[in-house]
Amino acid sequence: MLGFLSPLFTPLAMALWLCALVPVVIHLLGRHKQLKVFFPSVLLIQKKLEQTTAKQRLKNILLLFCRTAFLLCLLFALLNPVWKQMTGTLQSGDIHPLVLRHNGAWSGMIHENGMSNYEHQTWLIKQLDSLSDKNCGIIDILPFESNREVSTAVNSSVHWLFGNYQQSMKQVDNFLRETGKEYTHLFLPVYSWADIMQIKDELIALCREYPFFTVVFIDYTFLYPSIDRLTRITPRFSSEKPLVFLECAIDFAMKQSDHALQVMAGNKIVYEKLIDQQKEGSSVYTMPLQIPSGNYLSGSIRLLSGAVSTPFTRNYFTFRNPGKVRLLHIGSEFISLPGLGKTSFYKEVIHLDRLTPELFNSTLKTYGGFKTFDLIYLSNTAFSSDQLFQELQEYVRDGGTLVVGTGEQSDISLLNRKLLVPFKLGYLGQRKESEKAGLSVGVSLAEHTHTYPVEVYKELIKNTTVKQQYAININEGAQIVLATANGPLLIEHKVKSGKLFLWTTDIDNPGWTSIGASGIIPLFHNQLFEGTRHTDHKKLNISSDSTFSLLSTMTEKDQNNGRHELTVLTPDKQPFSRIQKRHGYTEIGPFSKLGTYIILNKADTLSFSVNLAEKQMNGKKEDFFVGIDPKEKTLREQYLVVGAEDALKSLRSAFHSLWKLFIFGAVIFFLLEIVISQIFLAKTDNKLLRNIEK
Amino acid sequence: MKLTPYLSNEYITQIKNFQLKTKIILKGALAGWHESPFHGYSSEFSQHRNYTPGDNLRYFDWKIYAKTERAVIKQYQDETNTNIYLVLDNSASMEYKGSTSLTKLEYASVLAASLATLSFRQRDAVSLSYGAVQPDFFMPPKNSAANLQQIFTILEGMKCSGTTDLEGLFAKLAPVLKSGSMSYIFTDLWQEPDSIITGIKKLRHKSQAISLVQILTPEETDFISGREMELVDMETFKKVKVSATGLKKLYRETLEEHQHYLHAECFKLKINLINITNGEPFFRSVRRLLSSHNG
Repeated sequence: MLGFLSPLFTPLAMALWLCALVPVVIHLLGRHKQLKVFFPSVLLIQKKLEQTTAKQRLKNILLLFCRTAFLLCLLFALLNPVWKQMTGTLQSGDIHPLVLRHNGAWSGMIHENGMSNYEHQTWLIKQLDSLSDKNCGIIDILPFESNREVSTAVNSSVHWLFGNYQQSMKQVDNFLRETGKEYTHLFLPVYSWADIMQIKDELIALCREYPFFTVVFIDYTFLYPSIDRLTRITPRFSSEKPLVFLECAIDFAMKQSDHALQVMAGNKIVYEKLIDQQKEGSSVYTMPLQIPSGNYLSGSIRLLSGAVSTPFTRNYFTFRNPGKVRLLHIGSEFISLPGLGKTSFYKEVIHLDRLTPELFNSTLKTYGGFKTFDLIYLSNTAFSSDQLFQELQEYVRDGGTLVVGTGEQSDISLLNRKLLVPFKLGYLGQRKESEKAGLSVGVSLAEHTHTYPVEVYKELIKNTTVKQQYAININEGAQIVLATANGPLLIEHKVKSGKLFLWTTDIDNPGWTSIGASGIIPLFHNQLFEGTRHTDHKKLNISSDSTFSLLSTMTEKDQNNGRHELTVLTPDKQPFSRIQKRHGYTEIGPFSKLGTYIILNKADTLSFSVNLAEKQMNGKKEDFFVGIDPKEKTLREQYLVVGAEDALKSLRSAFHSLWKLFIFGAVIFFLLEIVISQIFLAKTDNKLLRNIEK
Repeated sequence: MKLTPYLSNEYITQIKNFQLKTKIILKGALAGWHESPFHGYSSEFSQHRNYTPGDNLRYFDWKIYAKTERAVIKQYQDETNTNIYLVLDNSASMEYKGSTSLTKLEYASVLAASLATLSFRQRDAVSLSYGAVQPDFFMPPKNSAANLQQIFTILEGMKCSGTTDLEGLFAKLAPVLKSGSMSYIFTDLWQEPDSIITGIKKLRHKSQAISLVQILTPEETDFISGREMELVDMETFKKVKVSATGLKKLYRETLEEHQHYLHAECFKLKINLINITNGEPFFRSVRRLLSSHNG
């Protein structure tokens, strides 16, 4: 029950407490050392003492104030680790000895540098552990992986737990309760940020229950394409306190020469180090990048190995509003997955290979039309119909943001006729090819809200090339965002309150351009999405009598066997059986319970909520917890950071951030106390006092 | 405390010089302060003594010279034998000695012994009494070697105790004092000044010449300061914590006011108030005691 006090009784904390007691002891000893002098008569002194009492009182008040302030400052400074844990921030060097690792589904499958990700994680943890100079213990959670060959990679202190994310979270909780050990880190490899969002509440609860428990995300979704030398970058999950972590671990395989390591936050160098390979070898570097929660930041990590070689640069960025934007993506596989497909900042991503008339109707029915989406990305117009374009036109005019991509299979004439000409954006022409056309930034970009980071971070696109693109003749009013020597590459056009963006190249096709794999796409799209209309957008709610359609992910073999691998869980976490296979997609519903449903498809998860349709609500206020079991609601509310707790957190955060000030204050007040004592202390006739004491 | 080391031959030789002077002072003092009904000579004959050059021829006994051709001087009793009362305050505060080697009471004892010795030599009757609240001891005035020795013994055996109550002490002492006597009161005067004056007034009715000798140590005149202290009153055991800057100055100012008030009141009552600091050389203090009657 009083476990929360345990951090105050660690050996270090006890030592600090003892230090804090020193001034008190000095004070008490000082009191006892007061000279006791027999004097013939205090008659006259008493008369005058009343006059001096005021001074005495003033001195006592000042001393009391100084001593109290000193102790408080010292206390707050010493409690800094507690504040830090409560606020959930992690800074460089705060590595705890025991590590709880949540292993991902595909951890052993991806190999880099001859080392599996699993092995690399183990190495990474060991490296982090070496910073703390203590033995490392690992709990390894292997969702869906009961037969991993892990025994050779880790030592005997590793514990394995199995299950999917949500199951494993419960297992972690149970495990911690049973073992009673103080595990301090949960290593969480991330393959889908949507999955992490699913277990957000559980993670928060876990962090609160175990104050010193820290979750470190290792983002594998960003490891595309593979870069040999900079192997791990942990992007920030900046908006989800207390799950904010500032870790950047870098491993590089270059053994021959020395390097300079530079870390940029924005356009500012925040970390710079010359690395002597002979001395240091491969290492993990942790950099305290101060990224305020909720602020957008991009930057890069670069390895400079001399004039003869190209610097190896890795971009990273954080997101301001993760989980807020709802995206509908219509098109084929895309190479811009790191930015566009990254689900960490989407509330919902609906991906459709193509929009057939049946799917189109079904989708509209399911989501209440396109207007429920913040952003629609139409990367492939090959199978688009007239009706689709009409709906899209309405969507844009209604304030939506539409990004249209072009490519090999794009029906340019249809696009011109149904979208670009009606919107008076321009007219796409012939495809142009060039061996290697460098990308340039439009002149007006510096003042462009969405693309200003492109201007700021020109280096992100320095080495990108565009080999193929469509020629375009743009009308007045359209704005060129990006361009090459062959013409505009990205055009923005405002239509009433909506926006239309047009790519004249296929950013998902490396044969057309490398821009999709560069840092500019996620950066740009992130900026783009931040500016969408998600703020006034409604939640993804579907009518309880409707159905939810999902593109089938079954293989042809599975379909022939009549098997479907989808598992749908109701809000009560019970299997949901109303799943019907259709041609090319799966229809789920109708639904009888309100709440959040979870679709499990192999290792992937997707959630959607079933709520009362707007027409059925009868003016009732929409409630986030509608349809959720009261117990669970209480539980979730408990996990939510609201009201006073926010203030408390802010206070803790303030205490944490001001710890240096507290130290300074303690020193100042200590000195002040001495000064006050000296001021009130008259010169002593030592000889006289010696005689008196005799 | 043994008085013998302090009353050494050398010291006695020093104060011997005060003898003649003392007598003159005493005489002068008596003549000046008390209006004699006998206009300059006493009514009660005491004895003859040999004439020595310089004696007042007024008292030359011409009849004896005519009969026997012996030159003698007539002596009268009042002139030759004055009662001197030595009163010592032996309250607890008199035990304080501060940075000096003797307590105030011991210092006062040496002074009293000195005066007793001088008085004996000039054949004055000496009385000794001491007390704090009331006289613990009273010895009637006598002029004999045995009396002197007894005084020494008593002075040596005195102990300090009790709180100072000069009013009570003098009230009890006044009835036993003979008129026209001299009194030396040794005290530190650590009492409310009004009480002191009230007490002295009672004494003043009997004794014509009163010398109030206030003995203080240097610590009492300058005060102690410089660090936090807890002062304990030696009489009442009252505790007072002092540490404030400037208290020393304030104390001295207050003491000055206290002294000034006492001096003013004593002047009105024609009483000598003599401030003596414990630690001063004895012969100097004795000289101050004797010379005070000149003023």
